[in-house]
Formats: sequence, structure tokens, C-alpha cells
Amino acid sequence: MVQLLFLPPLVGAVLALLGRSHRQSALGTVIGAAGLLTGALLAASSLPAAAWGELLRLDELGLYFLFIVAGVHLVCSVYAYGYFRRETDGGHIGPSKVRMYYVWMNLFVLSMVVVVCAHHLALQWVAVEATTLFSAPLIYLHGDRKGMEAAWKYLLICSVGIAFAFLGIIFLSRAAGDISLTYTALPAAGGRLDPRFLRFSFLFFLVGYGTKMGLAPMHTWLPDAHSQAPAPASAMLSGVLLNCALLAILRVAPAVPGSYASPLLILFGIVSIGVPALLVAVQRDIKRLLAFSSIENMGIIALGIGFGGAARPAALLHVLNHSLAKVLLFLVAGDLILRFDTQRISKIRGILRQTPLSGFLLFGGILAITGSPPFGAFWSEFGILVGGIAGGHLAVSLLYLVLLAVLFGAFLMYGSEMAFGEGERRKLSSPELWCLLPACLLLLGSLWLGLHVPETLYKAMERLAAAVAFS
Amino acid sequence: MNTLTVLLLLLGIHLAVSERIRPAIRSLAAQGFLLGLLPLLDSSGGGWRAAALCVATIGVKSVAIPAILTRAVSRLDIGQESESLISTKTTILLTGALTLSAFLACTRFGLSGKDQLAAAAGLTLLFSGLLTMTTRVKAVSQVIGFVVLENGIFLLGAASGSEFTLPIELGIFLDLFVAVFLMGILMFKIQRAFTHMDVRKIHMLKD
Repeated sequence: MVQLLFLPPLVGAVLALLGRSHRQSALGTVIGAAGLLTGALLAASSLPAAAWGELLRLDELGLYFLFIVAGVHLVCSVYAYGYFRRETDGGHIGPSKVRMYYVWMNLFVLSMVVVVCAHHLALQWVAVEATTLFSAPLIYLHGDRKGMEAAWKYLLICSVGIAFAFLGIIFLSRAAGDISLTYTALPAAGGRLDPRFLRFSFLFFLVGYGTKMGLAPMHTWLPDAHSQAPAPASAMLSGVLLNCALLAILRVAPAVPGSYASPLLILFGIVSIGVPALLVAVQRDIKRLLAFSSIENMGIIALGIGFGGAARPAALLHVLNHSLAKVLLFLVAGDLILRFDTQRISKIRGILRQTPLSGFLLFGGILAITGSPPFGAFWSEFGILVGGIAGGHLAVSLLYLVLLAVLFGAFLMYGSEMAFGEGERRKLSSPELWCLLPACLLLLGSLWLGLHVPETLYKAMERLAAAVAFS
Repeated sequence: MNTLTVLLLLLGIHLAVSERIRPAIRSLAAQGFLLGLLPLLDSSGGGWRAAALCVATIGVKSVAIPAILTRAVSRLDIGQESESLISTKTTILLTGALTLSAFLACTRFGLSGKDQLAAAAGLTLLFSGLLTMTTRVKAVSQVIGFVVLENGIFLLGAASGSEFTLPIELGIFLDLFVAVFLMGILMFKIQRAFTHMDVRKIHMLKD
């Protein structure tokens, strides 16, 4: 019954298209998102579930990512209602564009549901490319120059990246011979895969899907796209889409020998943490700052997967921690940008004094994303460090620690300037309940995972880590 | 098969060094048509499957995509020259070097499967597509480069005999078509907003 999971986003898209007002389109999307979350809960009891021959199969790893997709989608849909109500009131955007936002968003979610449910790696490729196509219109929704430039780069760079991933699939099929290209059959085949083609294949998978995941140095499209999209779309791009690209890499990983794959992941991982650490000091735009943090966090996850051992379950847990904190930050930033009418960090000052709840959420989010206790990311980042040292990667682990400290300092500086800094006093519009409520939920979630990692979640991460271990 | 491959390779080289946009689009359409014939030549596949792939390839690569690009060129008034960052002479030299390295890489790494020539030709197209994307300044030329790169991967796939079930193959074509379609739409929007199509001048977003 896996294919039934495609229904909620489809229904959401139809309802959004037929909706006569902004309220109806938004409600249709929220219904679709709630349906998807319910579907994921129902699917959890009968795993693994397969359908359509070799095409679809939902296992525990897929379910974990599906939960993140559905949960973030629900939160962002509620937020989008408040966000676009303010945007249409301000005359920034017309009602027809807002309706198309909801339609594209539902289709975008549909393509991600296909990514997490795909069993055959070529079907997964088709779905990952579809995510690019459905999300590009979200980036240039406002139709301004910067949005179009960002969408153009996004479409072109990601399409080329994905084309390289397809080259990976071609090499994989050469390596596999008669074995079907499913994520269950490939690791089971073990030594029957041609090792040379397998290596080529993994390299192209990593470069191709790594482009989409935002790993440096293929990340160049990411800060543009994530800063130009409307805030709820930025949150989905950062908090969910990057994970889907990661999943595509994880699906092929168990077939690849660790002696080959681990160093590659460690290299891409540490470079992706290093590039934001170098560039974070010159950021002026609040959403670009958050986008660079996404590159960093994808690097942390890749590093943890590469380290292996105890770092791997921590890296998988970091996927959830990053999504919670980053979505929170994009949502709060979107609200602040509308109310301060600027994306420039230097113009956003004294939030805590002028609008205390937003200031509290922003500062909390910054602590959460930089891995400070008592938030969830602290444990996952710490777990990766411990795993790295235990695995004998002492130098890389130390470098990782130094880079994290640099990023922590930079983010804390920006955060305290925005929250406490003195700036020109301006009259802000009143806070929007639908914007701040979802953000509060996310902060609580991140806090909960920091105070107490549930036993079941921890056990699940260990099982998933075993499932994605290299051969 | 070999005749087809050589023709594809020659068209690819013409595309890479061509100074004008319209002939490049015609070469692209011809390349798509030849690629469409590939599944028919492969005797192992079933009749219906081969026919469906042939129709899909020719429909997308030889009719739809060239139509989008031609429309863009004529409606957007972007001139005939496909301006490049490097001179034509350098482009020709680089294309020659890339062709040579593609053939060398194929022998060195033993990439070629059933068909050695087709694999090398596919790799050449991939390289020259990347070259076009990185050196040409007009958005249309970048899209052409992207399609050439895709054609190269397609040829490489055919050479190594990788086959997927029909729904997946059709999904791949649908993706490619929608990607180029979206790029076409964006070209129109960019033209309207920037009143030029030179990607060198589109760089408002930077750090």
C-alpha cells in the first residue's frame, strides 16, 4: 500500500488549485500534509512494504526521512498561511501567485515522497530530478530579478549534477550485470559486483547527488536559491530536500566498500564545513547566512557517515536535529524579514526589545543550530566527534572541532547583534500567530531532543546506521 | 551502429565549435533523431519497447527541445552569434583535446562495454557539453550545452547496454523535457526583467 502515500500530496495539490481564496488553498495544503503524516504513521506498522514490482519499497530508513518530510511540510504549510497573508496584505505578491505556491509545493512534496519510497535506484533518480523541477518555480515565485537569477543557477547546476548521478547509475548497472538496481539487491550481491565500476559509480553518485545536497565545492547554487525563495519554501529546501539527496547517497552506500567510500565522504564533509567557516564572516543577508549553515550541517552529516562506528547513528540523528533547528530559523527569519522589510543583518536590530517572542525564537534557534546544549544538535555533533576520535581520525576530528567553534562564534555574534543590538527604532507590525506558533513547536522539539533522546529513537538510529553501513 | 556513432560525434563537434545559434540547434535536432534510432538497432529489446523509446527520444530530443530553443531565439531577439568567452580557435583546439582525452580515458579505464566507439563518443559529447556550458555566455547556448551533455550520457548508457523498465525510461525523458521547458520559460522571464540574455551580466547574487 506504499503507493497510497502519493495520494495526500496529490489531493493537496488539487485542493490548492481549486481553492477560491488563499484560505482555501492553504487549508487544502494543510489537509494534504496532515494526511501524509497520518499515512506515514499507518505505514510504520507494516514495514517493509513494497509495491509496483521492483519500483517501490518503504523500509525503516525511508520511513525516518518520510516522517521528516511530512512533519516539516505540515509545519511549513501552517506557517505559509500566516506568511502569505501578510505578503498579500502588503501588496508584495498577487493571489494567483500564492495559489501556485501551494500547488507547486504539494507537487514538490509528492516528488520527495517518491524519492523516499523508491526501491529502484533509477526511479529514485527520476524523482530527485523531479524535485528540482517542481521546486524551481517556488524560487522565482516573486518574479523579481534576483529570484530568476537564483532559479536559473539552481536549475542549470542541479540538472548537471543530477546528470552526473545518472552516469553513476549507468556505471552501477555495468557493475551489477544481471542484478537489478534496487537498494536491497545490490548490497546482497556483495562480491558479484564489478569493483572497478562500483567505485566509478559511487564517485559519480557522490558528486551528482552531493551537488543537490549542497556539499562543497558543488554548493554554489545553494545560498542563492535558499535566500531568494519565500521563507516557507526556503525552509522546505533546507530542512527536507537536502535530506532527500543524502538519502539517495545512503541507498547505494551499503554496496560500496568502506575503504573506498569513507575517505571520500570525510573529505567532502570536512570541506563542506570549512567553506562556510571561511565565508560566514562576510555575510550580510540573514537567509544567505542560514543557507551557509545548511552547507555546514550537510558536511557534518557526511563526515559522520564517513567516520562510521558511533558517529554514524549520531549523523543520522543530526539529520532530524538539523531539520528542526534550520526550519525554525528560516521561519523566524521570514517573519522578521517581512516585519523589518529587509534581509540585511545590519538593519535587523534589537529584536528582543521590540518583539520579544521572535527574538527569543531567533536566539534559541541560533543556539540550537550551532550545537549548544541543551538542544538536540549538541548530542549529535558531540557523537560524531566521539565516533571520529574512536575511529582513529584524530586530525580530522580536531579540525572539525575547530571549525565548529569558528562557526559557533560567528553565529553567536550575528545572533546577539540582531537580538540585543541597538538600532534605529521602527514601528513593527504585530506578530502573526500562524507564523510564530509553528516556530515555537520546532524549538520545543529541538529542546526535547536535547534534554532527553528517547530510547526508541536512539535504538532506531542504531538500526538505521547498521542498515547504511558500507560493505 | 558505427556509422550512427560517427555521425553523432561529428554533429557533437559541430555543435561545440559552431559560432551561430540556429545551425547549432539544427545539429542538436539531428543528434536527437540519430539517438532515437539507437533503440531500433539494438536487436535484444522487444519490438514495442524499442518503438516507444524511439518515439520518446525523437519526440523530446529532436522535436520538442529544438522547438523550444528556436522559439526562444526568434522571439527573444538575442542575435545569431553564440558569443563565447574564448576564441573559436581555442574552442576548436579544446574540443580536439577533449575528444582525444575521452578516447584515451575509455581505453585507460576500460569504460567501453559492448561498443568501444560509442562509449568514447558519448564521453566526448559529455565533455563538449560541459565546455559549451562553461564558455558560452548566452543562456540559450548553455541550454544547448546541457542537452549535448545529456545526449552524451544517453549514448554512454546505450553503449554499456544499461536498460531500465519502460516507465523509468519514459520518466527520464519527461524529466529532461520539463527541465528544458522550464529553462525556456526562465529565459523569457530573464529577458523581460534584465532586457538582455548575457549570463555574464547576471550576477547580483554573490557574497
